[in-house]
Amino acid sequence: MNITRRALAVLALGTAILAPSLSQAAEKTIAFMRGGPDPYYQYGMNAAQAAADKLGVNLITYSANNDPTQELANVQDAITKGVDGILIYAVSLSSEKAAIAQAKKAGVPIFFQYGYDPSILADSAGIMQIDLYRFGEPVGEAIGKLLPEGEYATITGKLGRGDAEAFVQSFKNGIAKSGSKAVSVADLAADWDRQKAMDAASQILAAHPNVKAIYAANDDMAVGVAIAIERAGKTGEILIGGNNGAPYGVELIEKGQMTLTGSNPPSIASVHALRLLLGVIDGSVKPGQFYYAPSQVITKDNLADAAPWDAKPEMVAKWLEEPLPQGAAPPVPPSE
Amino acid sequence: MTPDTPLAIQVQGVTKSFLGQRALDDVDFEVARGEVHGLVGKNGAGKSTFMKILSGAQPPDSGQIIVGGTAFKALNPAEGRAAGIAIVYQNPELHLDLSVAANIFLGAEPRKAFGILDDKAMATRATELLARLGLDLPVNQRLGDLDIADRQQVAIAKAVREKAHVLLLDEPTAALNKAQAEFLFRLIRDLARQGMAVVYVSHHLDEVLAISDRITVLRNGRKVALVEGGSADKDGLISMIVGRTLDAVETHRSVRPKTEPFLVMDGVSNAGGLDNVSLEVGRGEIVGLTGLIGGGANALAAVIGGIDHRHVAGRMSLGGEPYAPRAVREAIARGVLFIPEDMRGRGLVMSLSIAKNISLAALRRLSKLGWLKLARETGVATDMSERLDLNPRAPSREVRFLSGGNQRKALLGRAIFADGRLFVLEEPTQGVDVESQRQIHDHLRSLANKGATIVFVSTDLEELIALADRILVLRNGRIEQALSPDRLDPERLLSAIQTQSTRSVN
Amino acid sequence: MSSPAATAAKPASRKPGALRGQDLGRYTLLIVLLLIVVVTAIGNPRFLSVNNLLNILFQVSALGIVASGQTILLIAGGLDLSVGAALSVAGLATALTIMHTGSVALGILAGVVAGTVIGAINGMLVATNRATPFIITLGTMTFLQGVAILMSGGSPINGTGALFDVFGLGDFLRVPWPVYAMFLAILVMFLILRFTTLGRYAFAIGGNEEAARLSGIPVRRIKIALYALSGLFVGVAGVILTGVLDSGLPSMGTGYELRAIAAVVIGGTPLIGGRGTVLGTLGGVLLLGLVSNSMNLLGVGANFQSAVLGLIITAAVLLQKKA
Repeated sequence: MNITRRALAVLALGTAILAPSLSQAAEKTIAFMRGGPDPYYQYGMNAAQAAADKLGVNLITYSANNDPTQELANVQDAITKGVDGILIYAVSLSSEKAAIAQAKKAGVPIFFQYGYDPSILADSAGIMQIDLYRFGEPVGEAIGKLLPEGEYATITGKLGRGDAEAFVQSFKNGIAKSGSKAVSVADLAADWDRQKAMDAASQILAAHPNVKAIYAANDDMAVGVAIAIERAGKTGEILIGGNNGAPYGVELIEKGQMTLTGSNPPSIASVHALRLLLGVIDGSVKPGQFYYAPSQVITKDNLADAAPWDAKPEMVAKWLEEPLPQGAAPPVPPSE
Repeated sequence: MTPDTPLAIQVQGVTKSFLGQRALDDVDFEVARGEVHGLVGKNGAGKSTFMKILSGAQPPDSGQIIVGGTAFKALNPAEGRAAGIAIVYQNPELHLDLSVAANIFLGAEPRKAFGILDDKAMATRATELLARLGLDLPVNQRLGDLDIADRQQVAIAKAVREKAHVLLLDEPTAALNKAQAEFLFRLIRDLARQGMAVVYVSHHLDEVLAISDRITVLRNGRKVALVEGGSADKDGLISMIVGRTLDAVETHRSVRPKTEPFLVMDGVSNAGGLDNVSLEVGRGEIVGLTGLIGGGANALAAVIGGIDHRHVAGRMSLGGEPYAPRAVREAIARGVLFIPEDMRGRGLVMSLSIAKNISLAALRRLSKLGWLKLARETGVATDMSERLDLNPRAPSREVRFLSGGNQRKALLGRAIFADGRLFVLEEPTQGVDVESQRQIHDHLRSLANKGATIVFVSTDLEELIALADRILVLRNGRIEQALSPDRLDPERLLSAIQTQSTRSVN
Repeated sequence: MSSPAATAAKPASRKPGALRGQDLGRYTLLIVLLLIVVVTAIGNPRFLSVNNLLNILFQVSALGIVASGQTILLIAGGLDLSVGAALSVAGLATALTIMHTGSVALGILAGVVAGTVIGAINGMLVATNRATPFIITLGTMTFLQGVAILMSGGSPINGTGALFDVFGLGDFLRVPWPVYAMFLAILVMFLILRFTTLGRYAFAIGGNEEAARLSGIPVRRIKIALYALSGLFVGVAGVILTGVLDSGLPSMGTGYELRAIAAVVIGGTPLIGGRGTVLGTLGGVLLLGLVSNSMNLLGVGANFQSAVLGLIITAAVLLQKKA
C-alpha cells in the first residue's frame, strides 16, 4: 500500500464522516426509526418528513436493517443525542422491552408503529397498529364471495416475526366467513419479495393447474404473482388478493390484474403517529394508548379516494387538519 | 546436426546466482529447428534453473536468450509463450475439471457470434489436431479422469495448438510405464520431423542417448560438454556428469561396530509403489536411499517415517516392537521423525517464530494440562539454536526471514527436540550453502554417534557417499542394490543408479 | 555481483522494513478509531459522555463475543458463516427452555450447549470433508435459519425473566453485564491463543496444515475442538442477546456472521490464517460499533448509513497491512 492510497482512504473516511453533520437545530427533534429498507417504511418516513417540515419539527432518521440489536442501539444513540421523542417502526413485534426501559429511564417518550405487545403498552407513548389478526380477513371475504368453491393458494412473507403467519390465517378466516367452500392447496412463504413470490406462484401454477385464486400477503409479492400468471398465459383467469395498497398494487388493480388489496398506508399512519407523539410530549395526549392504524379495502371502484402511500405534501397537509385518532382497546388474537 | 540448420533458440552467456551460490555460470546453449536436444547433469548441476530461465519463470542475472530473431535479457512467461516456447512438466499444469478440448484451447476458445463459446467447433478442431499428432484421446472427457501419460499428451497438443516451436520437456517419463514412454518418444520424433525444437531433460541416460541429436552436459552450473547423440556412450556421459574431482569425497567418520537392528522391515508392499521391501537398520546407522525419480526411495521414506499409512502387505518393527503407525503422531510417539524436503510447503509454519517451529512436534513436553510454559520454550529454542549453530539466535524471529540452511536446521531442531530416535529425511541439504551442508551432516553424524538411527533420501551423489554407512539403490519399488560408501566414487554410484535402468528405448 | 557480503545484507535490510510496515498496520486501526472519536466528539459533545461510551460497549457486546470465537477459526485457516443462524438457534433454545421450565439456569445451559453442539458439528463436517469451510458453513447456515423458524413456530418467544433483569437492565458499577461478558470472552480467547497448546495448534494449522500434520498434531480433532469453542462463544452470545431483547427471535442473529468476520479481518487477522490477535478483533468490533454510534449521533440519515459504513469498512481493510 503506497502513501497516496493511504492518504486517499483517510480523506474519504473523513469526508464521509464530516459531510452529513452540518445540519442541526430546530424546535423539537424527533427520531424516526424504520425496521429496514423496505418501501413500506420508506413511504412512511417520507410522509413523516413532509409532516415534520410543515410542523417545524426536526426529524432524524434511523434504520435497523431488520436487526433487533441494531434497533436497540439506535434507541440508545437517539437518547444520547437528546431527542425529544422516538417514533419507531419496530423490527420485531415484542423485543422492545429493553428499548422501552432505556427510553423510560431517560424520560424520552417512544411511540411504536407496528410493535404491539400488551406488556409494553403502559410504558409507551402509544402504539399504532393494524389488527394483524384480521388484516387479511376482508380480502378473504371478498375473494370467498367470488369463489364459492375450488382451489386457492397463499403466499406470505418472511416467517418468524408473527405477522406473516397472522395475515394468512386471517385471510383464511375471511374465506370461511364468506361461506365459501374453497380450499387452500398450497401455503408458501416468499419473504415479502417480488421475485421469490413470482417463483413461488409459478410453482403453484405448475403443481396445481386448477388454482383459481392466489392471496399474496403484500402487494410487492402480488406483483410477482401477477407476472407469473401472465407468463403462464392465465391473466384474468385467476383472482389475486393483496395487502398494503402500495402504489404498484394500486396499479395492478387499475390494470385489472388484481382484484383487491387490503390497504394500510404507512403515509397517513406515520403522519398521525407523529402528531400523537408530539401530543404526548406537550401533554395534550394521554400516553400508553392503543390506536388502530388507518386501513381500507381498495377495489377498482374506490381507487380515487384511497389514501396513497406516496403522499404529496398537499395531501399530508390535509391529513394534519384531520381530527386525531382516538385510543381504542387493543386487538386480541382470535381464540383457536 | 548441420550448422546451417536455422536455430530455434539460442542462449548466450547466461549466469544466475541464488544467495551467493552460482547456479548457472556463463552457459551457452542452442537448439536447431527439428532437433531433439538432451540436457543432463546431477541434481544441483543447474538443469532446473536453466529450464526456468528458458521458460521465462526466472530472469537470468546476465546473458541473453535469442528466440524468433529477438534477443531478450530476460523473458517473462507471457513473452516466452508468445515467442513460441512451451514447457511440459512431468505432472503437467492443466485444469483437471475441464475437458481435453477445453484444456487444449484454453484462452483461445473458438467462439460464435456475441462471444458465445462454440463447444462443437472446439471439439472438432481438437479432434483434428489430435489426429494430426497421432493421438487418440477422448476430447470431451474431463482431464482429471485421464492418466498422467494422457495428460502429458494433452499438454503437448496444447503447445502445438499455441504454435510453439520450442518444446521443453522436464523429466517427462518419470511417472510413465514402458509402453507410455515409448509412445512419448515416437511423438517427440514426429514433432521434431515437423520442425519442432525439443529440449529433453532427464536423469534416464539411456533415454537421453537414444532420443537426442545432441546432448549438453551441465556440472556445477557450467556447461562441460556438448556431444553428438550418435557418438556418445553412457560411461562417457557419466564421467562428464560426475567430473573427475581432485579432492576425494571426505571420509565420513570412524566405522562403528555393527549394532543390533532397530528398524526391521519384512516384505513390505504398499499403494505408494513399494514392492516386497525387506530391510534392517541398526541403531546408530545412517542409511542413504537413492534411485531415479519414481524408483521408490521417497515412497520407502514415507512408509518408514509414518506419513504413508496405505499398508498392503508385510511387517515392520521398531526396537523389537511391531511398528504400524496409522497417524503421524503415532510415529512421533515411537520416536520416528519425518523431515520433508519441501520446507515451505510441508515443513515449517512460516508465520510462526523459530521457537514455535522447534517446539511444534513436542508441545506436550512444554505444557501442563494444555497450558504452555512459554519461558521454557524460549529456553529450549535458545539451546537448540546454539547446538545447531542456527542464525540468528533470536527465537522470536519468524522462520520466513531465515536462509534455507537455517530453516533446515530449525526443522532438524524440531525433530531432535521431539526426542527422535529414528530420523527420516528427504534431501537433507537441498538448496543450502556449502557451510550449512557441512554443519547439517555433522549434526546428523553426531546424532547417529549418540545412538539415533538415520534414514535419508538423496539424489546428491557426494552427500550419499559422505554421509551414509550404507547406500540402497531403489528401482521399481524394490531395493536393487546395497552399496558401501567405502571406496565408492560418484561415478560408480551414478553408474549403479543408471544400470538399474531396464527400460528399453527403441 | 553477488558477493557473500551483498547477500548477507539482504535479509538484514529486509527486516526493519517489514517491522515498520507491521507497526504502521497496527497503528492504522487505532488512527482510524481515533479519527472517528475526534470527529464525532466535535460534532456532538455528548458522544464522549460515560453513558454513551457504555452504550457503545453494550451495543457491540454480543458481536464482540461472536467475533472473539471467530478469531481463532480464522487464525486456524477456517471460517464459520453459520454463527448468525446458530446465535438465533441458541437464543431460541434459551427462551424456549425458560418458557417451558421456568428455570433461567436451564435456559442458559440450553443456549450454551446448543451453540457448542452446532459448532462441533460444523467442525466435524469441515474436518472430514474436502469442501471449503465457506461452502460447508453456508449450508449449515441456511439449515439453521430454517431450524430457527421451526423452533419459534414463526413467532417470537417472549419473556426471559431474570435473564432480562440481568442482561437487559442490569449493571454493575454502571457497566452493563453484557459488557463484562464481552471482555471476559476476549480475555479467555487471548489466554487460549497465547498460553495454551490449543491456541498454538490453531496458529500452526492455519499457517501450514501439512506441517502441522507432519508434526503429529491431530489436525481433525483440533479443528473440531476449535469450531466447538467458537460455537460455545456463539451460544453465550445467544443467551446474552436473548436476555437483552427479553425474547428469542428467529431473526436475532441476522448479519452477525458477516459483521463478525469483518471485525476479525479489520483487526488484522488475514483470511488465509496463520496469524492474528483477539485484541485486533476488539479493535474491529469497536470500529463497527463506533461508526454506527457516530453516524447516529451526528444525525446521518438512515438512507446514508449503509453506504458510509461500507466505505469505512473498506477503508479500514485497505489500511491494514498486507497479510
